[in-house]
Amino acid sequence: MSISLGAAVKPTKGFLLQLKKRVSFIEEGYRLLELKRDELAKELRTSLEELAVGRKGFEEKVEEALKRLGRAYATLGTGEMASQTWVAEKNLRIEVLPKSVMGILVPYVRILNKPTVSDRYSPIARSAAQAFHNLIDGLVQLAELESRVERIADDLEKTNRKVNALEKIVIPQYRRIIKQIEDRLDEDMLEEFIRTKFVRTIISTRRG
Amino acid sequence: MAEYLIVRCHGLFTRFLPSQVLDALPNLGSLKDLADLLTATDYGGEVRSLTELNVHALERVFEEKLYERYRYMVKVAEGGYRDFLSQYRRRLEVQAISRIMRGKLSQTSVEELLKTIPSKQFLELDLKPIAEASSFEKAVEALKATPYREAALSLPWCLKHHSPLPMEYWLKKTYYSALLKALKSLPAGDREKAQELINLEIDVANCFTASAPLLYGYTLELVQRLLIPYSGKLTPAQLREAVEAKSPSTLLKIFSDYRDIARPLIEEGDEALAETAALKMVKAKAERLMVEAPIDFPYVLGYLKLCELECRNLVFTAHSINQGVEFKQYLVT
Repeated sequence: MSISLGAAVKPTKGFLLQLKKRVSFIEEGYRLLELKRDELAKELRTSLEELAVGRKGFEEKVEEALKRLGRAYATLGTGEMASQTWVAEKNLRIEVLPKSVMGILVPYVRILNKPTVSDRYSPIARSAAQAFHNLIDGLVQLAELESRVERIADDLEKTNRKVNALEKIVIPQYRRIIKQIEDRLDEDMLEEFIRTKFVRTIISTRRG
Repeated sequence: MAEYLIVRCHGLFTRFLPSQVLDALPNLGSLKDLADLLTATDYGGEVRSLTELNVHALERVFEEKLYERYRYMVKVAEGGYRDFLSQYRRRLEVQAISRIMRGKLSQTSVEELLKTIPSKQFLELDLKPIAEASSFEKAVEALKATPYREAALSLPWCLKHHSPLPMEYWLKKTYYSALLKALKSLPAGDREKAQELINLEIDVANCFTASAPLLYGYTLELVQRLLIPYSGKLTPAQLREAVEAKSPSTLLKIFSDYRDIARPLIEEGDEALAETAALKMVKAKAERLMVEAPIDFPYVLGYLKLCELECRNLVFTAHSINQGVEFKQYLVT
């Protein structure tokens, strides 16, 4: 009985050795990817916890700032508040630099210039302006963290897909091929053995 | 004597929101509820005629009612009283010029600027030439042709700090200087009582200004120049000390006469609450004047103060309802 193998697969001992070497290399890669996946999952979990805590604190600050802004609007009226907002400095400058976390490039944000609140606003408006000014650092940190989480999650998903593909498809496929080649080689050896035995029987019968 | 004016104020007093309306304000759930509540009041006609009910439309109604009340008072007053009231009304002008200057400093479009100032009929001056100036410097130049020409002196300071505050200070200083001058044309008894109210206003403004370096990191050098010189209970030395204060406790000590204002401002950082406390003081003083001098001119000033406070309460209520936030403690009741 013959086993059908793919066109590129040669049922030879040399090819079998080559395949086995390749499988062990893939398995090594698989183990490394598994380690990366675990590390990424750990990193993601830590970052998510950090993000949840940071966001909660930040949301409280935003809520307070919005309350202040609302009170400023209510106290000063729309016209006065609108004119107060005109004098706001519009010179927030940030720099986004790449930072590598386990080979993943995550953004690192640096504030180059922060608008100032002092010396610009009349009472009431300055309290709202100060509250929003205090949010800038937190907002940048949170944006950095969110982006980091997104990138890590994205990479984790890719790594996970690779690990799964290796575990569920590539490695089993290679193992199946190895098994098939081994079976084929065993069959060939058995055939060869039987043929030799048969030939020897015929020769010994002829001799007499 | 300003008999007719005072009698008119007694008559107009009945047009203030009745107490049951004021009591109902903090419990309103929507702008429609507010509009419904106001239909039976002096605001009814304007509120009913609104084609679209929103916070800005209501705010405009409240503000225009106040401007109209100012206008009417000036119209029915005579002689020195008229001059004084006419000068008093100029606070609208000061506010409008301040807004224009903020806009000019930040190169805001003329259309945007004009949206934030009262219409011409409520002002003594035509502010369009200032609003239409092509730059801040040109607007300051245009200002030189008005009674606020002194404010042009603030130009180097505005440019140095890139801030409209020096200009706003000069406008206020000019305003109060002219108001106090107009006050001199009133009879002595009226003058003293009216001055108490004006001094209180100036003290409150100075409290807020003097606390800015400690609370908000404002430049000492700038703030020292922003203090209005005609203060009441607060002496110039106390104000200088406040500007240079290094701790909240020092500020609280200096502002001990105004502790109701200073506490929320310094300890809680709630400027709106401090402003409410200040307005409550103004209201108490105005009401006291009205009781003490029911047939004298201070009654008119008290009436105008109550008009301003009614407008402020309604604007605060409309905005707070619109934002769905608690506001009972911020009403001047």
